[in-house]
Amino acid sequence: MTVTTPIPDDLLPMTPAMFNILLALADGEKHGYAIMLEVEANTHGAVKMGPGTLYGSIKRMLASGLIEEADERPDESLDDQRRRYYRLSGLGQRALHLEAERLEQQVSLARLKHVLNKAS
Amino acid sequence: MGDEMDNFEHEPGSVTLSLRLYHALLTIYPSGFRQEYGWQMLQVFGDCCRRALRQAGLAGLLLLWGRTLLDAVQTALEEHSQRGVDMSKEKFIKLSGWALVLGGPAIALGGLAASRPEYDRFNAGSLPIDRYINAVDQPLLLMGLLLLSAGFTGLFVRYGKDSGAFGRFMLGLAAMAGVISAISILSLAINDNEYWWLAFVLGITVLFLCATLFGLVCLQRKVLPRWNGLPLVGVVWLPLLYGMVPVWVMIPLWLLVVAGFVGLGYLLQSDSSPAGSASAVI
Repeated sequence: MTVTTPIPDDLLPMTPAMFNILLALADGEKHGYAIMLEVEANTHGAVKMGPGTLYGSIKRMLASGLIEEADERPDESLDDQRRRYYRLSGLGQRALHLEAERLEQQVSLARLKHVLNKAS
Repeated sequence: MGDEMDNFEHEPGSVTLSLRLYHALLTIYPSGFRQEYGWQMLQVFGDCCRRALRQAGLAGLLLLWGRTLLDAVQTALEEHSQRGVDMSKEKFIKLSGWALVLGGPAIALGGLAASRPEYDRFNAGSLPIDRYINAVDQPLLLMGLLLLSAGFTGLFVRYGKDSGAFGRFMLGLAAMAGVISAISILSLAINDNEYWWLAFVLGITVLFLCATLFGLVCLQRKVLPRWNGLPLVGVVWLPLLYGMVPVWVMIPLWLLVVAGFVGLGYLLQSDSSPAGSASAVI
């Protein structure tokens, strides 16, 4: 029997920065700049995080257990040793899943009310 | 972290300069945060500089700087407010409210004192009491600026989230401008040169300008629970700062400024409940 820690109420719904960082880490561990680039690409440039926002968010997400620092570097010969890599924790994966489901429901509701049709 | 700046020496001049400036800018963050993430932030900023320069040249680098300054001001204030200095957010907001209540009169008295001429017994325009007034204008202005900066930080923590990005930026910039102006006064006392004087005037101008613009945001978004026109009392600041009005007009105008800050401070300290404050802004 597996026991899963419940997602704390204050983590959901997530802020856009938090959701975007978790989404960037969904397909593997990354360092800060790679997260920043991926968030920018995923949002077509709509979200551009500065270093302060990025590391402020990372600090709080580490504290709440959503992400963790990776011990090993993907390829030490290709990268600066001092870069820190981050990855999703189990809690982070579940929180991301729940938040994505919540957003999907919102979009479904918007479709149901023909909001998306009107906009297009 | 200082030694690690040497790693960037081989960069293009504009990137090296940007990194040095950003390295200095990192001092606005709490020391613990800086020690933990300062090097990472510097490295990420370096990556961003190289990309901006590659893609859009110096214009791109300048644009990046604009965004980065805004980001630094906002996140440094968030980090400082979250650190909490061993006090609860509610207590900090309450204290910063009282800082505004005291800062308004201090800056007004300092401004009035600074408008008096240097005491000279051969000058009919100066009075014997001016020799004492001349001695207190700078300490009063210094105290007033620091108190107002603390007050604006409290407003940022309490109403930052409700003020929107522009309002939050105005509050953050006002707090920083007050500190810069206060540092300039201290520096003027040590070394009287025109650059410190310019920094002082610029700092205090930006502080009052930001207060005025925050007032417009309050009117538009109804940020405060009541008296949303109060911060706009700041619009009377301009003629006062540059001595453009006679004394008999100056005193009532300063009284208006005092009333504005005292009212705003009273409102802040009485509305210090953490519910709705800018907590966990990520």
